[in-house]
Amino acid sequence: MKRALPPVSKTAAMTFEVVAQCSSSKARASNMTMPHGLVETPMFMPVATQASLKGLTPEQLDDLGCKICLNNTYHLGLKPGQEVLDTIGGAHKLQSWPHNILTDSGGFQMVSLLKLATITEEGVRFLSPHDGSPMLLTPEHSIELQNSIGSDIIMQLDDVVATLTKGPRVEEAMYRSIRWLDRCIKANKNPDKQNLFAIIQGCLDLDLRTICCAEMQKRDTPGIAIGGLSGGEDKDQYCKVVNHCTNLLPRNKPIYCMGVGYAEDMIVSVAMGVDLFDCVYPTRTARFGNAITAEGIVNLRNKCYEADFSPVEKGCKCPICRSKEDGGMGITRAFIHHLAAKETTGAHLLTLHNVHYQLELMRSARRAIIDDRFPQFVKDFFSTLYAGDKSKYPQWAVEALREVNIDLLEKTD
Amino acid sequence: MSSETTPTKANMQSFKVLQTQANSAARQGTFAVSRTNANTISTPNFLLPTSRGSVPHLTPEILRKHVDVPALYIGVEDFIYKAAMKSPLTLSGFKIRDYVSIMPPLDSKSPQIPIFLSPRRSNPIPTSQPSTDNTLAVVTSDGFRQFPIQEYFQLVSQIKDDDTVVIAPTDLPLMLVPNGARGSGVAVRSSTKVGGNRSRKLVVRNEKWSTSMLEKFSKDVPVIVPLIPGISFSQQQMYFDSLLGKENVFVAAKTIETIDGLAVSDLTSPFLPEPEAEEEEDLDRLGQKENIAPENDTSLTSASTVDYKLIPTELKEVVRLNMAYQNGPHDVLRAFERGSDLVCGDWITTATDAGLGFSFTLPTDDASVHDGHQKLDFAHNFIDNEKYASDLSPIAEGCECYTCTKHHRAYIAHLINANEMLAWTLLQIHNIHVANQFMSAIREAIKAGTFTTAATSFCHLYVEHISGVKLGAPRVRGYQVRLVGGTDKKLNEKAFRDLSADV
Ligand SMILES: [Zn+2]
Ligand SMILES: [Zn+2]
Repeated sequence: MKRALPPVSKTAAMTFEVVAQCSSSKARASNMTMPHGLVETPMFMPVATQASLKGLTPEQLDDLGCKICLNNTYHLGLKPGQEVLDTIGGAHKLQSWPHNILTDSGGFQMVSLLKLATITEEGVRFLSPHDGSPMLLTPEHSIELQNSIGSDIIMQLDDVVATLTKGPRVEEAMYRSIRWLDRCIKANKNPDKQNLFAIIQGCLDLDLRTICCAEMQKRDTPGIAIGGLSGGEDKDQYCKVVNHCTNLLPRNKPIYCMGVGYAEDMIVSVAMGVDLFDCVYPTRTARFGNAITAEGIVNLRNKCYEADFSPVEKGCKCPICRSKEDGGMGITRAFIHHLAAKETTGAHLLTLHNVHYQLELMRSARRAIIDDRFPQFVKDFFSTLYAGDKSKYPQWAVEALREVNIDLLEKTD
Repeated sequence: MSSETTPTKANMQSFKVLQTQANSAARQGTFAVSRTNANTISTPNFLLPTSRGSVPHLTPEILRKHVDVPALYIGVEDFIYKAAMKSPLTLSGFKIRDYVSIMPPLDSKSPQIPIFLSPRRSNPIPTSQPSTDNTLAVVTSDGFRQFPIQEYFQLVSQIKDDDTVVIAPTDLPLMLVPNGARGSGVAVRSSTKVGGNRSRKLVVRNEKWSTSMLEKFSKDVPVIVPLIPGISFSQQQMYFDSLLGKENVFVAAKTIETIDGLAVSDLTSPFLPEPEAEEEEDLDRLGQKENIAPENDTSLTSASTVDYKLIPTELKEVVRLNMAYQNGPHDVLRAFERGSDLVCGDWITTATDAGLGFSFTLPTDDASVHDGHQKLDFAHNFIDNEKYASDLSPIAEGCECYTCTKHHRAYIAHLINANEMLAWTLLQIHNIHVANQFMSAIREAIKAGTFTTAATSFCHLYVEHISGVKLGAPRVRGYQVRLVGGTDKKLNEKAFRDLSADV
């Protein structure tokens, strides 16, 4: 039962068009066109924190098919700083990246990296990491910085509270985030070039989430993020909130789950209707010798791989796993083991594989949605990950998927 | 000695001198690196050193796409564990080229990048124990080991291919004082002047190793044998005779088809600090003063003193590999003026690690025009250098390397400042490119007979040491830092910090 008219939304700096919807779940495939080109969703966005992705050249990232990456506002604000960004003409110019960039507001980093940050109605107060002097990050300043960065998607400053927080602080943060969105919208100098996304807050309180979704929707931003998650909550709680929000949010706007990037989490979230993801995990874990594969994590620093001359992942089409005959590098597990923790190129190689894995997982999900075989795709994904052992499937995934009409435990012939 | 007596057949010669200089020993030539195909290296040139089989900062993909590599230098000690024959490389049965995924360059005339195989890394860490008659002291990731020469031969047989050059093991009279013996495990120079007994041992050992290497491999691949460092040419006459098949007790004269090259090492190592005056007195009191090598004793064979005019005629037209550490382009010019054909390129990686982006070229005009001018830095220093923060020009004006065509100084400065690994990748690509241009200009200058003028001009134009930058010892990795104690920590910490630093 495909819906007849796929939703479309056209705003000053974005055309969002749903091109296919799963006939069972809420999964959809869409085309997001922004000033720096087309982004096909579902999409994983690699995190190039300081305008560089862990040793990869922007060209290598481009060659992996990446069309949008993240930069962190907090870090770029420190280095190279707003003045340099203004002189150079923004982050695209800084890193010679021809595709889209998304930036966060800087607030999350401030709260998580700087223990002494306090939040008032005005903004986030913190001590300068340079000289310890008191500083203030307001919604206006966050947007001004993101305007200087010139990212295609900019995020509102939100009042971040730990996911597991309960009581009046949650409500306060939710309402303050709405007020801050208004200030951000007003502060955005480039609505014709930069898409401001709202962030839904409310921790695990579904009633607060409902209010927030309604209020944010009124502001009619080009896209909406589900925030305040990935903070140590149980996976089933995460799913309940996401499922709740995607039920309420308009279907003609991209939905972004911030900080989500584990393969299972992304697949379940796609089924619940989420379009965009980002996470530092795939690149960070590469430095510890971890390869992400369809069958799970492989830690290549383990001695058992020192004489394993097979590719990092069999059948993988990434530049390192592909054979030399096939135009790849034909890197073996043994060679990664040989380099791991001793030469940085080992981390570069694994980063290539891991980013490819993430991007390819989303590309294959998209193909499955377009061919309307997404439920089977999800079942195959879990079956491969758990080597066909259904008793090992995580309960939260089974339940969340059942909510969107995908039964992982269903008997098949 | 007439040429008929030498077993080296002219038509088999892998090295051809195309041009010599009247006023220096510099020469331009070509070195055929393969017995089966037309792969050659134009000299003077450099070998790009690898660390654990990887060119520092560059994945094999970037190496093939964006860098023109004249040749790679791979140290087998980077691949062996306690038992060499049970090491993964041995078990794999792979050629070294496949093991470390060196692919044919995308954009080059040569079908494969030539690989020079040696038992030790270029500019190896001195060992704490001497080699023996049948084993070479090496440094592996497990620590100091004795690597049986026969196992080196076996491994080389497996891992070489048609574009490989092999270097014979060299017994170097350079050692670390064992931990605890003096100071707290800090490296010191010791026993570099070779006494009579040791000298005879060196000759016998190197003779045996070199002639076996020639006998086993020279039919299939070019073989480079060492000049024996630390003793005079006359002290190693017996070694030369043996190499030339005149008086060889190990190998019948006829079996040696050809000697393709000579390698000359230094009597110092950048890992060994200069002895301090006090220390010298100390040694004197202990009656060990004669053990300190007189650097300028030209009668001793070393990279910085060797006089190729004195070498036997039959060994003159073979390629000369200078294994010493070159501390920047000035050293490289001196090495070529002394008659080296190939140098090791550790200085390129060292400069990259130090955050330098080369900006030198070989001048084509006369030196005197630069007199009175302030000398230029040979590189841009991107470490803590705010002047590049908003500079959108390429590292070097007009440079056609990948880094300079895609990126600008502001990005490099930002990446260095943010301690992002990509900084070193981009600098390495650029620096290798500049080194290639430099080599090519040197070759042209030799052909035109202007090399000596150009080299003098270069020294007038560029400072030898950039102020505030210490180009120290070549790259070492974590496990090696532990072995050499306090050597040059700063440079290597820089490259290492980004592995552990987190965001
Ligand atoms: Zn792969
Ligand atoms: Zn360049």
